Amino acid sequence: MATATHTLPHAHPAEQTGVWSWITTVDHKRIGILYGVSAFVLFMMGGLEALIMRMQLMGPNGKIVSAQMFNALFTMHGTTMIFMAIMPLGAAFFNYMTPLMIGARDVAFPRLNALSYWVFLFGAIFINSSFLFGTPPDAGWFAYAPLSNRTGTATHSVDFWILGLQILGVASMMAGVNFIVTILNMRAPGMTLMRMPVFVWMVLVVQFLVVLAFPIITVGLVFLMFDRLFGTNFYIPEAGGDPLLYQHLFWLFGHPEVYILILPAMGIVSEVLPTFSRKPLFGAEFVIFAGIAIGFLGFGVWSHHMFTTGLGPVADISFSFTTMLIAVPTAVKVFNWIATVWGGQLRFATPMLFALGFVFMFTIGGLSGFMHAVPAIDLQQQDTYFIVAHFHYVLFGGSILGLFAGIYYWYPKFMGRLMDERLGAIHFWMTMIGFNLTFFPMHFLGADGMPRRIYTYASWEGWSFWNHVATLGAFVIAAAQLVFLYNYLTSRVRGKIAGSDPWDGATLEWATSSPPPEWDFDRIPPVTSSRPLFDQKYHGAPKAPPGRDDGIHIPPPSYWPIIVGLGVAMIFGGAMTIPAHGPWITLTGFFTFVAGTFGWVFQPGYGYAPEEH
Amino acid sequence: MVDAHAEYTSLGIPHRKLGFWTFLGSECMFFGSLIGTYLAYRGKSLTGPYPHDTFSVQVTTISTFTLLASSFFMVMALHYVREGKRFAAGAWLLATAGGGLIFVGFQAFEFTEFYHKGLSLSKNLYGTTFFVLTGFHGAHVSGGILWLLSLFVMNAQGKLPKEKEMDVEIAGLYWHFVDIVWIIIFSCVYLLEFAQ
Amino acid sequence: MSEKRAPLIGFLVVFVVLALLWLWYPFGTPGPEEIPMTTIFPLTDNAFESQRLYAIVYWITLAIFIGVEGLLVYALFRFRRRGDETGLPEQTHGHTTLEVSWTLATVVLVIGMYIPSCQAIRYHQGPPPSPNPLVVEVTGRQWFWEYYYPEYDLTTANELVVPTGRTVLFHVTSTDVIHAFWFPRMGGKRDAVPGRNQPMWFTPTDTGVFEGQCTEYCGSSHALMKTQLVVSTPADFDAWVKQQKLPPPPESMASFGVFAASGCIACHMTMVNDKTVLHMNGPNLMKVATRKTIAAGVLQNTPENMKLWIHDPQHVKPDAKMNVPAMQCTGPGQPDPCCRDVQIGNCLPDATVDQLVSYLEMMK
Repeated sequence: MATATHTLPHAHPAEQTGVWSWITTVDHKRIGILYGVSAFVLFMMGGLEALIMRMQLMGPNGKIVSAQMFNALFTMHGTTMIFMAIMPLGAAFFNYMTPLMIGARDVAFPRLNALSYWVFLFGAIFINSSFLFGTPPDAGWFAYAPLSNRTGTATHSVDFWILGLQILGVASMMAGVNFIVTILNMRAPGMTLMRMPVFVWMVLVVQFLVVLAFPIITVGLVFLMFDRLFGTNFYIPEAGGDPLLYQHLFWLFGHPEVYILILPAMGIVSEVLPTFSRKPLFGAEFVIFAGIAIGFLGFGVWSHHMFTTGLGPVADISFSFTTMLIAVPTAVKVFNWIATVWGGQLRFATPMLFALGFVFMFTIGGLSGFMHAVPAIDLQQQDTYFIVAHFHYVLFGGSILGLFAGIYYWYPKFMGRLMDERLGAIHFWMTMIGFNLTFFPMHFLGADGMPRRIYTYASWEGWSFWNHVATLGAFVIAAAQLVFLYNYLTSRVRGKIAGSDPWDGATLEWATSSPPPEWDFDRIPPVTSSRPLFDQKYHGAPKAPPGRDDGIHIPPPSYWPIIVGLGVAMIFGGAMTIPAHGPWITLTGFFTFVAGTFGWVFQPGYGYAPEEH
Repeated sequence: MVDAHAEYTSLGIPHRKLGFWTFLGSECMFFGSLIGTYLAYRGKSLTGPYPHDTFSVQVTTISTFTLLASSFFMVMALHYVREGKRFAAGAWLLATAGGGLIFVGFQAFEFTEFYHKGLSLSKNLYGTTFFVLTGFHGAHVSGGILWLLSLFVMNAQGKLPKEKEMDVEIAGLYWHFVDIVWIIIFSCVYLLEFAQ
Repeated sequence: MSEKRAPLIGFLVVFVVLALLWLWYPFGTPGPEEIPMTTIFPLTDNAFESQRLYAIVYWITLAIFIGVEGLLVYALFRFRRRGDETGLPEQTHGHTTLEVSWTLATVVLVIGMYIPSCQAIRYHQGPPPSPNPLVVEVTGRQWFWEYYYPEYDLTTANELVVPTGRTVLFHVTSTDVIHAFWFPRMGGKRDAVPGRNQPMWFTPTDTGVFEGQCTEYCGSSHALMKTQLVVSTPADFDAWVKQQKLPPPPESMASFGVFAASGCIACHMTMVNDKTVLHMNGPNLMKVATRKTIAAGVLQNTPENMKLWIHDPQHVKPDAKMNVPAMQCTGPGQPDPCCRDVQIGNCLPDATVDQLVSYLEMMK
């Protein structure tokens, strides 16, 4: 069977369109689109939650929502944006782009990739279903014990959060393993590690962070779950347990998580800036090593989230140092991006606008982050709006702007058509103005002493003006995203035909058609430098000969991933009902999982070859 | 299956093996966090029973020895799969699974024993950390036993020719990993109590 | 084709506006009269130290912002496509000396900032500057603050009274979830973690009333967990201690019955305020009439507000733990409005509430 590739059927065994084709797809590009669409829907939900909060805080004594609902809103806003919007938006890109950029025909484990997506989707649905049950999580996105413990929150709200996060963690873990193998093992001949696009490098670093950081929060959440469901004592002070253990485990994961969110955006910007400056990335190897350094240091800074908990001077001195040290690789990146632009021929197409916006805004987030590295300052800023301002400059001004740059940049590759430039510019400037209106005043509010996570404030506190401004800004941001949505949808039919290489790109994804065929490349392009396509276009490097490789193998579609995914979700989701109703849902999930796995392992068929021309 | 292709890989390591090593890396963090928690909470229980009231180091030494021996059986099983000797491979696979089963049996005995001595999940910090740490390890061993038995059945049906040695090798990686974790748990949980 | 200027002007405007706002804030923002919780008008040694470092970093980061972002905006102007270029720009791949220099420059900056940071850590977490500090044990509760003065064996709630010129040493803890104890103008936030006892100190110098608030999310009414710091002259402080230690006024004794019969006594004490009342379910009310606010700084301490609060605590403060027993209610249809729906559970007849209010008003 191993050598039977010549017997692969040419006919397509399944429909190429329709719902069933999406459910059974194992194509990394379609999975990328599934991730992107789901994540954008969740991004809108998270945005809506933010908008309601901003309306509540627009003036003193807001009456839009109750205290309990407000607390649920900020909990779900944080959880949604981090785990269900930015992470999967990053996943959309690394699913779609990684194989194309390293010259591969798929990922290492196509069905595992589909499984990651389905588990993610079920996890997201599970957490958000808590709204329908009337018990949305409300212990904060960090859910510190003992507030998140049974004594602090008796309803199922926190159970939804704990179990949902574990489901999402499983999805991320599987994707992490899959993409580490894909990147390390499936590079086109000639693509050495140092010739890999910087985006792919950042994805690789992110996957290592995922694989090493998620087990830690899994343990932290398992402890919390056991405390809640089975009466263990991990975080129970009365039994000698220490609530700070939870914080240590949470932030040991939580800080690498910050880099999981920002590094893909940094990678995207490192692709977009060179293309629109018509220059190579300045100091690419420094940018790469800076990314790796950030990844390593990310594991050694967690206690800067805990300066106010009183860990003692030794801990504060150490973590102050490691935290400040992160400024070094981050600054190196920013300098290299500016040096990339320097001396180029700049084209201000929409992707470039977003990438420049990223550098601009992220730098502000980096500078305010440097302030918190000094514990004396952090003592005055911890848990105030200053922190909210800081991380929104990093995660919105950074991650989200970077991801939008990626969408505008690669949209023609996904769809074969360009997005509208005029609407793109409107989207950018509205986002930029709305963003700064919303979040820059939050620095002031924080310095004015406004604590985070308060559902109301009094007029004598003097926080009304900047809150009012911030709320106006939030509406501008929301309106801007509608412009984007309109542009995205209409450009699919009205956009200019893109061709395979609309931006004069340098990397391999532009060497195949837009959208690429299911097998990505007719022939794997030869790679002789970090800019293989540029070398072909400008330096006469050899191109792939016309025609198509023999023995291209396309994996067969499979419905086992969605079945196994359902099993995984049921195993975790059902855990909540164990104390009251017994383990029936979990057991059903377990059997679904086992049966699905056997079906998976023994799935017949060895895929098929591309159709003949 | 598809994986049996002599696939081109940039590192020269098959996808599945590389992926499995990555997975084991994350398992290290998982057990590292569990063991770290056990150690951080060691001696912090406010009420008994304490480790000295419950442990029987002789019993656990025997079960530890069985588990370690099964790692050796695993090596033999892989060796005979590579040799293509179906019967010997099957015997060693069964022996490996048997070693694991004995270990899990001992653990079940130990858990009931401790429970009768008054230790439960919710009794004190020691019970909480002990049962959760060793319980997760036991669950890993049990998963491994299922995996080994599946391989045994495949082998008996003749579906485990030497070309598929990697299937056994990866199961072996897992099994050795679980053993090594147990050595650390045995040292940190049991031996530490008797080292003065 | 040359690039349009609009994006350049856009970036320039954003850059200039943000830089100006950054520059404006320390000079232009209203003072504590309008923003009582402001952090940038410090009043104690502890807060001055934070402010000193903040000022250094503030101006350094502003300089970096102007330098780096200015360079970026300048680069956009200078290197935009003008349409008359022939061929590609120079394909520079990097410059090792440049890389090493800016890496080293950042390292120098980091070390330069690290040294004062360590000094501040030593200062803040070192022993209090005065050898004989006033010790206050602080307990965060859902949702109020309890203060115990071991020196005077005195327990009070929400309103912390201290003298000028003497360092106050706090031991901060909690009995339920994590809270954070913070008076912005006094500096030094400290988390109140159950099972832990964390030290923190500051030395007030100016008399006045200063606002504080819980700054670790602690559940439904986190936003309403405020507290006041009253800094008095040493003489006033001594007078306050004396008053707190006085027994309740004799004329209040007649009304004690209604306080006890209404169930208040289960959680609140009005007869003593020593250590024995610490960590009762509710705040100690022995001298409640001397306090400026009630319900953890949310309401002014007036009879009307007191009435409002007793009538329906959960309306003032979502999920407040105070359950007013519906003991006088026998069922729906009673004349008193609060008894029409016994489902809400917490209602006392108006007359009883009035009696309670007048009783509490006597507690000084």
